[in-house]
Amino acid sequence: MKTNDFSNIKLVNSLDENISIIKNIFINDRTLIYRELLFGAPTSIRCMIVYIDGMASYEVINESVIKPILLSNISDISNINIIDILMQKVILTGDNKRTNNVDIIVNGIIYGKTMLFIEGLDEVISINTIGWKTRSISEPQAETIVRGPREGFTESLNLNLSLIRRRAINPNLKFEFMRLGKQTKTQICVCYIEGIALEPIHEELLKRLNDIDIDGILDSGYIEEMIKDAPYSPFRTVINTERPDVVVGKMLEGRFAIFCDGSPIALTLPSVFVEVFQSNEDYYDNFLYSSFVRGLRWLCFFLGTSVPAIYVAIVTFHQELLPTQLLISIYSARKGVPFPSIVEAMGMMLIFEILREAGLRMPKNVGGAISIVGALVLGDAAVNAKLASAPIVMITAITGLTTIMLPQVLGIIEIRIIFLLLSSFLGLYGYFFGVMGLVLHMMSLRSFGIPYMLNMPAFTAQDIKDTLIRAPWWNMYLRPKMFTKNTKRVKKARKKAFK
Amino acid sequence: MKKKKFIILIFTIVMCPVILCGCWNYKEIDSLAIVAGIAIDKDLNTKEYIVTTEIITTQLQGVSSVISSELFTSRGDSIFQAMRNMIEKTGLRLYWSGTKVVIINESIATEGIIPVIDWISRDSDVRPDIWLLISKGNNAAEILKHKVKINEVTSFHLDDTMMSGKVLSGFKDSRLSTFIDEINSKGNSTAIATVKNEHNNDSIAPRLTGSAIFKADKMVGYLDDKETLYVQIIKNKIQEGLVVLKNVAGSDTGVTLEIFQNRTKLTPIYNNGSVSMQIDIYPIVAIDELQGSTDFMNEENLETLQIEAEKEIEFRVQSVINKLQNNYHSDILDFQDTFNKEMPKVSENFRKTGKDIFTEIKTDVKVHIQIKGSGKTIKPISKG
Repeated sequence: MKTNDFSNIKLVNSLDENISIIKNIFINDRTLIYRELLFGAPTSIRCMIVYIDGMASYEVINESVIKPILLSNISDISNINIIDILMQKVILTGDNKRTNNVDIIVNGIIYGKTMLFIEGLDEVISINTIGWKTRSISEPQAETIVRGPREGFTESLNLNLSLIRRRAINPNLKFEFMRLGKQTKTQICVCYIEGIALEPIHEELLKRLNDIDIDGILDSGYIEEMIKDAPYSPFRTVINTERPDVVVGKMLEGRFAIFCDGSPIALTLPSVFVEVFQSNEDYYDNFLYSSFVRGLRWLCFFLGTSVPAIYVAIVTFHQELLPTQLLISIYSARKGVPFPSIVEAMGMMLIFEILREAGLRMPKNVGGAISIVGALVLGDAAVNAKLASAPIVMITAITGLTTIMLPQVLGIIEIRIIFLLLSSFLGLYGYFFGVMGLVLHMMSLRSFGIPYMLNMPAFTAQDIKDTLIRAPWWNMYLRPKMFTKNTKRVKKARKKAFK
Repeated sequence: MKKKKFIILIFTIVMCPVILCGCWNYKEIDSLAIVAGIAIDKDLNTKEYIVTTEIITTQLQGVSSVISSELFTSRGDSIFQAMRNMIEKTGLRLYWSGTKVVIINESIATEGIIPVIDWISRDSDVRPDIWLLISKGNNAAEILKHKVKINEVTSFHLDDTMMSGKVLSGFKDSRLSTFIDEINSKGNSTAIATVKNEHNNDSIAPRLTGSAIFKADKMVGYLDDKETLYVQIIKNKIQEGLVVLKNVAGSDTGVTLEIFQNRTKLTPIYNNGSVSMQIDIYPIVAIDELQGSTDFMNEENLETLQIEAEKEIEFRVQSVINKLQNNYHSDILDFQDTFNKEMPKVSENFRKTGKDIFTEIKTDVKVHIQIKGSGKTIKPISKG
């Protein structure tokens, strides 16, 4: 069986044999380029550079590696220090290392580095000539905001880290790298601010990351599912974002960020329930408006989870709760609809989800068709044909909107379906059992030791500052408790400065 | 912190009955027959109750649906039996929580109303705030038969009319729960609103007017809408009402006064075995309409108007009291209750001797009117 672990292979003191080791490893791979060079006078030394076409930059190789080597006239050739001379005096690139580890050599070649093999030496020079193309920084599609920075992460880990660095000019900003995935060897970076983040959480995170044993990681979503608490819960105990400002904001509150090479989505943890309702724009906009929007999001969470369930419960069990006029209008809308209310509600909900999913996958220029199909055919026609009643169509639309409104994806749909089923056979009684179960479940959740419902059960002044409302910045002088021991965030200077 | 926990605990306990109680039974909303109103008559030969219900029907017309109603009639030895028999005709379970009115035939009311309203107040589905009406001169079912275009469902039309009763004061605000409370309280009689069919241009429409007077649970007679207004004044329950004066002080001018606010004070007086009641009425009124040329805004005329209005109200109040005392012997004015509260010994004496205190009470009515304002203008429209 082919393996990709080469740590037991040793290089020898022969160029030809070393090259054949490499050739053996990369057998059947024709993108590898082997370039032989002869340099030095009077006796010339044979050496060979190895790199992958497309991954390494030709320009760098030509100008900074081949040209200076060929033009050099190293006269005193002693095998011991030729590598030092080449690294110190000849090669013009900035990041060179010497190594005799075949694993590093192979991975380096694959990643776009150039390896310089020299006759008679069992060491090579690894020259950083990475030159593959990355997507340029653009505004994230999934998290658009009106006010605030428009940069989003790309698929390049280094570029992403630079976006973080630029926002927190601080040597305490730490980056820890590791490779995960036996086949893909994906580079992972754990990022945090030392002095704010807590050490026990750090240890727990590293432990969980090191426990990951998977063949490949193509997106940070793999990591999220492998490390998160309560893996069966519909709630996300790890938050994901495409925005560097969000990541820095979370790190300033003592959270950790995980970057994954090849994924524009960063993970932040530990996470609590209120983060679902916090958009980064809340912190950039006027706090009154932000607090209002916060309230709307809480309302949306309620609407999105409960409206279909409450509607079905009232219409099939508790008609007495409806005012007479409303009762009659629902009555006349329901009259002649062949399905029970629960089937109607479920059916319309499924259709909405199908439409939404189809709209996501669709090429942009056919997206218009989806909205016509959705609005006209399924809404209006279904009501006219008496296959669905008008209230159900409205409720489906409202709940559909609320799902989209929250800044973070949350298991609203799962909760909604459970509530709907409960209330369809037990009425409001069942719905409230569902609510109780949900609250108990949420209260029992923890994310890396932090209670998921942190700041939720007690409404003290300090607790609601960034949960129900968004307090003005000069008033949010403490970091969230339990995330950090370094709690002071804002010096209470507001009153003095403006008197 | 402890206080907070206590508040949360109380809140939880209070919320539990609100959200966890109630009947529940799976029934789709469209499998109901929504009852808007009930009319109860009695077959005098077979002694069976004839119950007529008005049930909501909807018809789809294009995009919107038209709400209308259909009447169903059934018979039974008891009200509940008749209601159950109704399902034989409707095919659907009757839904009572939307029911707005129950109309009772006057002949049933004279026999005693309790057997009829017992089921209505006992059944868990019917709301206690349903309007209780007496059909005057018609069968109760007749009232529901005539529709008005303004609201296709007659029961809802009656509900709307009862709701606007506070500007009319021509009939009593008579909810089932209030009625039961009032006949429950000792020695008290009460009144409920009456409804009758009247010609309205080319059609026939139900009209809510006047009130039916009960002594205990038996109806003893009627008051018309004007008399009802003065009953409301005496009971200090009036919110708005009109006093129309014709040819004030011999002039050619008629004045309509609108009562905005009123306070009535009942003072029971006991003097050597005779009881009397001092009634002080303090209405605040405005001149809302002048028909004629006399300018009542100058001081002299204003005083005349005031005296005339006081006289009119005094006369009306006195005559309605006389009617209740002499014709009906029915204390819907709560006079006995006033004595019970303020002079319990006196009323106790009367009870022992077996005399009806209400009919013995002599009344002294004094009206202290206050005229405030005259609308947008202070002058009558002059002819130039």
